[in-house]
Amino acid sequence: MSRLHAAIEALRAWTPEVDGWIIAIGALAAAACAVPGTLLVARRQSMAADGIAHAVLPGIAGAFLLSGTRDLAWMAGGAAVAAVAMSAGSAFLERRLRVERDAALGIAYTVLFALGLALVVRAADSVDIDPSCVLFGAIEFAPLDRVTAAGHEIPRAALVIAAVAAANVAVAAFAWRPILASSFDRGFARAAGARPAACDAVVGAMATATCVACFESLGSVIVVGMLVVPACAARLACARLVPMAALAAAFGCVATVLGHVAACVAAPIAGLDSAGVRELSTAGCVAASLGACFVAVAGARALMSRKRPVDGARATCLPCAP
Amino acid sequence: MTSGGGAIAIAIDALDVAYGARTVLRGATARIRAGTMTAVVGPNGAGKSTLLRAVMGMLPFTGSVRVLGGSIEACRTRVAYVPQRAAVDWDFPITVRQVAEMGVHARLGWFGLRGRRTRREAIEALEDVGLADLAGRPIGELSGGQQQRAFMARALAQRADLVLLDEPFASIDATTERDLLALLSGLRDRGTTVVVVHHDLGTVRERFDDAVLVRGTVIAHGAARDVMTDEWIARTYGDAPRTGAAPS
Amino acid sequence: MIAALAGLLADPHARTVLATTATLGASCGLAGTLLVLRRRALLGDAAGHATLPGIVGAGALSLSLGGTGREPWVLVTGAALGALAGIAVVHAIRRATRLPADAAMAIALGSLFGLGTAMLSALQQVEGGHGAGLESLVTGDAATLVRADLHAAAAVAAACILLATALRDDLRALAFDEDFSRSVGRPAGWLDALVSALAIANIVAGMRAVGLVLSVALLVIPAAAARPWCRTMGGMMSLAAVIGAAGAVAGTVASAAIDDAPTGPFVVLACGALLAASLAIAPRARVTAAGAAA
Repeated sequence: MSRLHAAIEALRAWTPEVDGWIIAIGALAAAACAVPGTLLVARRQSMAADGIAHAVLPGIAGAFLLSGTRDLAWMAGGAAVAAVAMSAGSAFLERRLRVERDAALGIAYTVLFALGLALVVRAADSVDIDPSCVLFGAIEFAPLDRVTAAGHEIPRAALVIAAVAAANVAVAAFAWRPILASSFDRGFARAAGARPAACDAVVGAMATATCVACFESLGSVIVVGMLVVPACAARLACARLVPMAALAAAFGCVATVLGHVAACVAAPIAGLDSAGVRELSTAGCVAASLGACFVAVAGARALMSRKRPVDGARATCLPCAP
Repeated sequence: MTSGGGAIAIAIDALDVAYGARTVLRGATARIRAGTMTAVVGPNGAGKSTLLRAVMGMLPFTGSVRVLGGSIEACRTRVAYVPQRAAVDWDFPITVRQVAEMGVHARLGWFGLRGRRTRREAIEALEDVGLADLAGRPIGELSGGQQQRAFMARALAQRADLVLLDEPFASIDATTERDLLALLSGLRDRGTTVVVVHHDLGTVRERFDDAVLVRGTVIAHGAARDVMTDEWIARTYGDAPRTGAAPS
Repeated sequence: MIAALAGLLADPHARTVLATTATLGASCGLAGTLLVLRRRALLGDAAGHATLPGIVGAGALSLSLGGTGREPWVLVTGAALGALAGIAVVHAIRRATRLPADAAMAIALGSLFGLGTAMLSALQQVEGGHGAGLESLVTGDAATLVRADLHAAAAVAAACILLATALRDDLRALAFDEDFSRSVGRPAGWLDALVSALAIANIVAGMRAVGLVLSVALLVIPAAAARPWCRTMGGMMSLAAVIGAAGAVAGTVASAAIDDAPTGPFVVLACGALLAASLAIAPRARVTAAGAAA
């Protein structure tokens, strides 16, 4: 009983200034990731999310080294350069090497990520960044970094992410028809003038901007989860893009709340606070909660649609050509 | 159903196949006699490829399919299948000879040191289809028709009791088609059952023993001379109510 | 430069390090060819990230049972189990839903790495569980390699060579035409499991040298660099092994020359440089009718 008690105490210790903002920032990240994430999943480019999240690292680290500051404009510029390098490199490799698209992507972004890691270790000497922070994120500290806006003190991360979220929605709304056409049928879209390559670039830019905005709080690898997993869970629940994006944002928010709760109560509930463990990493717990949400949705869907073909002779289902 | 006994290579009863909500085959029933060359004919989208894939157990179905007296799982090594267009990566680093060798491996086993014999039998199969001089080339360098022939060589190398071919002559010129048909007839003469999805009705009447007419179901099956009549053809290709009755 | 290299080779520890990374590079190149041709390249990425919860869990278990939490065999077992779990999760997602492979991998990767991150944050707060050692597992540090690592790398390489040679016809058929392989009754599931197992073995063996997050690069990049030069799978495996070894050694030497540099990134960059060189001088693939139609 005392474990539960300790857990409740941990939750009671929540303050609006810190925990409230943590959840708000996470929810905003979920909203920002919903649009590019849904589009990437619909366009069968999930690993591109992984790629962008990895590839922005050298851009950001390079920006740190060049500018000596953590100025957002530099970071965004560096990330943009890196993301473009990744897309161009991956397309080039796919054509030239005749490997499948995912392999080309993997090569491009791991090379860039390696470059980024090498730079980060160098930059850690000269600029005040922590390599593990870049990888794993530190959303717990985000509420402490405040700026003043409209007379209120708001965490910088919240402002930036909210701005990106709004921009994503606006851009998607503006370019909706060509994006939809090129997501569904590239060949037709190209012939009809919907410019699928340009749409790819737009979606990629949205994802890049979102990665840059979120990486300080969530870390470059956790952002991958936030981009792809809610969208995949939403894909299981509905088949139209706009509801999918809304549902993805909702799942992301749920995972944020679950994640932060888990981060606070996991140690007391498991009795680990006696070993000195206080809170877990919220970003890690959020990513794990995203996975749990996906499993829940997949499980619910499996339960709801139990149709098995009845066959006389034992039919084996072999994979048909995709 | 043609009288004249003999074993049945493929027995299909009440076969239903659906892709999602779309029913492709319903209530298909047919008998394919062993040791014959049987054509599967029908208009586009009739379900001919689906029929072959169901026989191969490559998709879920309801109904009964018995191959060489049992289930397909029990006789996989005795059945060769050549799809309409293989779903492969044409840039894969593999030579034409190695593709044919896969058929030998399917028969002789996948381990061990039978390199020379494997090579020899693969070259023989390639000679049968007229590709022996391209044996060392990467598969991606061949034309569409040549690639199709390479996959046919693979099937020949399997020396199977039952060979299923889906539109094997689609990208092939008339002369080569004639040669390959003679090759398949030769197989049939040696006791192999050959089933070919084919679009050229004239060839079917001349060169094939039996035929199966397909349009959403099996319209008719039996000896080609009985089944390939104007009336049945019209029912298969024209706008006619679908039935499953076979001519007696 | 040559003098520096000679100086390195005179040092027994340096010899061990170089031999280990060369062996790892070769082994990864070979196993990676199978992954790439089987179109499962990024499975290595999912597996690599999934090792994190395994390692942390194993370390925590060891700590709770009185160990140091950083015994090599503990971490290796944890990493292997984590990678297996990652691949199992990818398969489970693909079977249970109709999501494509890349989505399944991204889900597994993100969730499991997140779980590992959360677990690591807990472990770091426990006495004796500080994560300094674990961080070097993410980015690699060849300086920590010892003879045991060389033995492990050699064993993994030997297993890869043996299995790939014995099963090469089966593997080639499966990678080229899965439908055919299944239609003649080959156990595609087991063969794929074997390819995954070889990849995992290489990831785990290379954990301390190259790190987990980058191990996929050492699997995929040498194979990609070998592709334009080879007509057959066997040739591609051999050349990829050579390129992998060369890149691994070059990266290790480069990272040693720069103070405090983690090995993993430099090995990847060296392999990337070899890939760029290969692309620059390799014969252009003839555009085939089939290729153009694709």
